[in-house]
Amino acid sequence: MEHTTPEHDPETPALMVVPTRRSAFLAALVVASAGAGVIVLSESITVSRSEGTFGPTWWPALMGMLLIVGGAALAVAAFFHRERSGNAPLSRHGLMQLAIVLLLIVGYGVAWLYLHFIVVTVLFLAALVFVTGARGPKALIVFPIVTTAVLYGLFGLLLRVPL
Amino acid sequence: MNDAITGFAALIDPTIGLCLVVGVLLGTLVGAVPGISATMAVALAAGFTLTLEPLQGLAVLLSIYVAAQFGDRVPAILINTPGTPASIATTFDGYPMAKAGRAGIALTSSALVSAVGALAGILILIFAAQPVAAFALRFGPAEMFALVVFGLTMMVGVSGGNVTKGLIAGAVGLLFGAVGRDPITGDTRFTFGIPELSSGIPFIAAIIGLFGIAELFNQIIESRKGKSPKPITQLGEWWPNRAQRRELRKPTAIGVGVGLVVGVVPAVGGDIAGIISWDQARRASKTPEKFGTGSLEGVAAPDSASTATMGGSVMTTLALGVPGDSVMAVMIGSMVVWGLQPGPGLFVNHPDLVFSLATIMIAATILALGLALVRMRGVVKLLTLPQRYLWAVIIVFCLVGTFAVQNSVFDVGVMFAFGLLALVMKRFNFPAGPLVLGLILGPLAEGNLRRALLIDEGAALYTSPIAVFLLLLSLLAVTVPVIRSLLIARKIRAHAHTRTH
Repeated sequence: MEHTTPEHDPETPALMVVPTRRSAFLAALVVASAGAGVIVLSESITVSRSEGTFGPTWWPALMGMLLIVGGAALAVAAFFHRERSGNAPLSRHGLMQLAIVLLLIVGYGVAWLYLHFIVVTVLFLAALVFVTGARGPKALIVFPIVTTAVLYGLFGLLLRVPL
Repeated sequence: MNDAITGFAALIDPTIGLCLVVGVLLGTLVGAVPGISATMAVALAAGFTLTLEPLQGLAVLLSIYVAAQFGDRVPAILINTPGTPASIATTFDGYPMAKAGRAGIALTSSALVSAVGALAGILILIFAAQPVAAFALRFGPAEMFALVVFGLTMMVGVSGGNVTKGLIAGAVGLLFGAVGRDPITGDTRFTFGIPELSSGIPFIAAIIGLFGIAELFNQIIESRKGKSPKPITQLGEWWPNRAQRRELRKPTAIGVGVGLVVGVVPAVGGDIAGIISWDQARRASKTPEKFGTGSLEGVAAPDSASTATMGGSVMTTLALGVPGDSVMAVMIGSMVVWGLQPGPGLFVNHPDLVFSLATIMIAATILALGLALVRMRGVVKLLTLPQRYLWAVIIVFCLVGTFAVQNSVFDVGVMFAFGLLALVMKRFNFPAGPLVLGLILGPLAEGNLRRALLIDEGAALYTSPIAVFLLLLSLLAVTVPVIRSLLIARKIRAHAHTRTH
């Protein structure tokens, strides 16, 4: 069935990126290597009793083989055409933000071991909105306190999760 | 009849009503905020509903599912951005209507036809669930394996992406499903000495990572300074007049018809139904040229279709144990934790459940409709909220919600691992849906295939008419899109060749 969709609104142009052939080959290589790794790993499964050909190692090995075939198919496809991506391009600003957010998450996990949930969560939320561009007392004080109160009320008090 | 009475009576509990209201409010909210899909919201909610009673938890999850399909029309119409994938086709005519000063009519009409679609779909759940389950009870290992393959390939085939990548994602999911105990011998596999993995990959943590963290991280890395949506604030008239209401009838009927059919197909959701019905309504319209330029018919068809799929999706999930769409895939994980194993046996053990769920969905539809008609103007303000607040709330909810499932830090680690894996997959255009489906259905597929092979060396796979039929459909599901894209590419090349000459 052929679907006809209207043209994109010129005010909101679609941001498209075309993956390079090199990245398509890289994806194919990773998939095929993962398949090979799974086959090797499946050999190390300890089997308590023999089930013939179709024992506990058979299915993972079959999936491993499928991945190798899939990787090969991706590599062949990459030769013939470039796939268009629906993803918007990465931004340097966004990558920096993600790196900082990941560091904050690790810091949050570590701090939670030593401090109470409420204290670390208020600080974590304030830091999160700060690094993503928020300024002012509403964003850095009111928002973290209200959100932490809701979280603690829901999980800590209502659902009795040991936070 | 007794089952119906028992099913309805089970809901006479004020806490279920409260759960329903909370679910509808949450669903409308997440639907209205672009960046949170219904799947993500249900995955996040699964973290805190697991401590509730099954019916209370299901009331929250199902009402989020239903209400998100009402809320998601708001950003689709006002900022040309679908709130969830189910409203992709709403943008085709909804946004042009809003630009022409008819946003109010689009929003109200959308809510009305969505309610019609949802209620029609629930009828499918009520009347077809038990017969389908009774039929599926006759399935042996070969048929069950074929059904799983059918579900997986349908999700891959209809998603419109690269079929090979979809199949690879499905295989990776099936492989993750093999972690833990072997379904037949009980031997441990791929646990690497980690005791938490002996019962398999923690499912809720994995799906929160796949649908919550990955989407969030992707939004962060794509973000640009000073980029925020500008919603249309002039809503114009609010209530459709008699001529406009009459105009809604035919496309709504088409949408409902398409939605009912698409809904019962495993793994195919409202987004596909919306696009198909938009196209069908355009073909059937007296004014097809208006489609895509702000046609009320172009809003009615996809919106009624996407909500009409819900009843069928729930039916397929409960009666066959194969998720009707990605939200249902998430719900299966929660139901298993509650001790409700979806599949033909569910209605043998809990025959009243279908009526309880149908009643929850009807109540959620009515509440969501009321909210959409009364409070829609308030929801518009949400669209101007900077994304950073949303990101912060989602990160903390993912962390705490995942921890809350089993009070396990290991689960939080699994969530991040799956989140990063899904982020890489997304950047390389591998879909996450088949991975989730593979993860859920892996043990079912493996166990049934191995049993079929052990019983008669797999003869039933090619002698059972049901298994053969389902496997043939599966083959078509993955080959037709490939052949179609090859034909289109050939046509484009031929056209370009003709133009150069």
